[in-house]
Amino acid sequence: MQDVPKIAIRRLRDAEIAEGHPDANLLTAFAERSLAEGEQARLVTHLATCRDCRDVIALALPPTEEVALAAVSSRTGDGWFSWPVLRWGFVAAGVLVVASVGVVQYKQAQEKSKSDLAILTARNAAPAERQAISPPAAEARVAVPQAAAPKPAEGLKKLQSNRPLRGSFSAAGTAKMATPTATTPAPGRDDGVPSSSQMVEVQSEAAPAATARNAVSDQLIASNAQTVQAQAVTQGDVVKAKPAAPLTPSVVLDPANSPLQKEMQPPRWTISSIGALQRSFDEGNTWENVSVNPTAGQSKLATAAAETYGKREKNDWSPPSSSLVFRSVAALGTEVWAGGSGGALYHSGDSGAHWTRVVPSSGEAVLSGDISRIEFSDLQHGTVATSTGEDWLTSDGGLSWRRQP
Amino acid sequence: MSPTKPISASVQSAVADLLAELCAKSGCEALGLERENFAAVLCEVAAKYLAGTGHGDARAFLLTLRVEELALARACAAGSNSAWEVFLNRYREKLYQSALRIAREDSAARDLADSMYAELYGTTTRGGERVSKLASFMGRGSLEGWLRTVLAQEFVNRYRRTKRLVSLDEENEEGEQFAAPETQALPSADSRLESATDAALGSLASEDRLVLAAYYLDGRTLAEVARMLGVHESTISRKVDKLAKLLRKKITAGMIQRGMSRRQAEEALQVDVRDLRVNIRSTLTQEAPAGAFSDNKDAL
Repeated sequence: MQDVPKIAIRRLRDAEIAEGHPDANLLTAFAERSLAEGEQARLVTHLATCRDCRDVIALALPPTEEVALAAVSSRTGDGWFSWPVLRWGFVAAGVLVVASVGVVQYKQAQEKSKSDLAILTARNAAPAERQAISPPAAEARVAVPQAAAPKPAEGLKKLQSNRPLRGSFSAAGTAKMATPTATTPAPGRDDGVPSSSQMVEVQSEAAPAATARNAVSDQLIASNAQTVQAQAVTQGDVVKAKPAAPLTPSVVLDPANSPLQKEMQPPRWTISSIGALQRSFDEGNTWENVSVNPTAGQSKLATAAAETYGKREKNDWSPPSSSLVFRSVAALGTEVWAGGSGGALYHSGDSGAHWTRVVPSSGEAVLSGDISRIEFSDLQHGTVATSTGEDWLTSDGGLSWRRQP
Repeated sequence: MSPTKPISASVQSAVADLLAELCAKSGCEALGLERENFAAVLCEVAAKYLAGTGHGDARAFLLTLRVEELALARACAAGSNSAWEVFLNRYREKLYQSALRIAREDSAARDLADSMYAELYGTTTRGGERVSKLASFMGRGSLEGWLRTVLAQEFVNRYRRTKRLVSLDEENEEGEQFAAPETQALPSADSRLESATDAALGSLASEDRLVLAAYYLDGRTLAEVARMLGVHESTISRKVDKLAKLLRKKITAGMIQRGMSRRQAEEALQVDVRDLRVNIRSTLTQEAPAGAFSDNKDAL
């Protein structure tokens, strides 16, 4: 999303005046929507250039629960057919229609994927096809999402190096971490995978040279290996795992262009007109809303990360309020960053299956204001801009942030 | 009480027509405010806000007033103990709650609420008569909303005064009292960019400018701006997005009209010609004197 040019903000500030203030009666009537049209227009013109009066209006707003009632009753006596009521009625009807369409499309997509699974299962049952998914192909499946060479050891190493969010791989990296970023495991996933301790073992065999790991990164690497490993266990498990989380492009079940393979592509992302975060797995034909509320498993890991780095209190990782409005999203493969009102910034490493709240901070400074723009040139280098003119930069995939002066 | 503006005949006749109805609705006599005094209040309010309107408009205006609260406030201002008792029962706690919400700190809230009580009760006198702030309530909005607004005005006035004093003290300590103006050290924006920007901003509706000012200058969140304007947060989000795109387009077009090529115009817009630093001197010269709100008697 584009920001207003800074020159425009500066000229707006230069145009501010501080004279001819309206009295408290008019300001109150404005807040309660009881001004005549001409008075309203004059007052708005004044408010557009007077910070003091805007501050007064904002400070004098009633408690939140009264505002909705006041908006509805501002034209008492007009009844059910007053414009405010009708307007909300139209909005409610529109939301109902969109929700119904979304549910229908979701059900259709579910049925489609079920039929695809049935076809695939039938196809995989054939001996000739089972050959194609023999151990060499399973080995290929263990490959890193971004890597081309499919050897498991190298693949896991590359996974680590390409995904610095999941832990530090050098002593310097550990020192840099100013903000604990919780990782996104899937400990609750019921896909018959081995336990994480086994995964750690496998991992350490595969990458004995890895240095400066911490508990968080171990769990994360384990979970990522878990994700990849799940697909190597059996075809059935792979098939079962598919609906639970989006798979990465390099995990190939069938070299042919199967519908299932298409669904493994990283999704497209957008922000809806009402600020909801949405993704599409079918190149934009259908979209689904994505919730960023963390799971119970994530919260535990988030707490562990907070304890490890000792920077954040538990309530900083609480789920967002229902009034969260997203304004910007950036995605590179399965890595997704989404931000919006109230400085809310979320990251997912698995195309939105799991999310972590990230709070950029540097010393005593903490990101504030609405996030209006997110840009990542690669997995490590990114910029988050806010409506208050702050620019926060990261060069380590979100482990640490600095505010641009 | 003497009205600040002359009362037209149409206003007087509208008040006379509606007096019985409005008196009954307001319960003014039970609050200790006589009909004649209440009629004078209604004439004062109508004269203040209506200019050159006819009888019909005056009637319609009078019917929009919150007459019950108006009668209560004016009865308190006139010294009616029964009215003051009603006022305290209804608004004492709300006044403190509002002060706490505005000041966000208990001692500051109590200080604010206590000083407001004194002004509402009328501890000052003018010509032997007690002067109560409630005499300036006009019934255009609710009395509760008006109390929040006057609290907010007082808070903003105090904050601005304090900020100016702190800023001056800080400058003295840092030896910047006689610092030279900074403008010469900063690169200036191309005049074509500035005039194109001014033209683009000038073409916006006042409400759009209000949204931009509240969001970008005041640093308010989408939710706060939405509440100020009585709309949904997503409406403001869409509006901000739309305005950002529109401004870019208009400023670029304006610069092209002023002789720049498209590429030059786009480059000029990309470059941050200067930082938005807090310039204490320009902020001080822009801000109004401390008594702007309390002394101002001009309505829009």
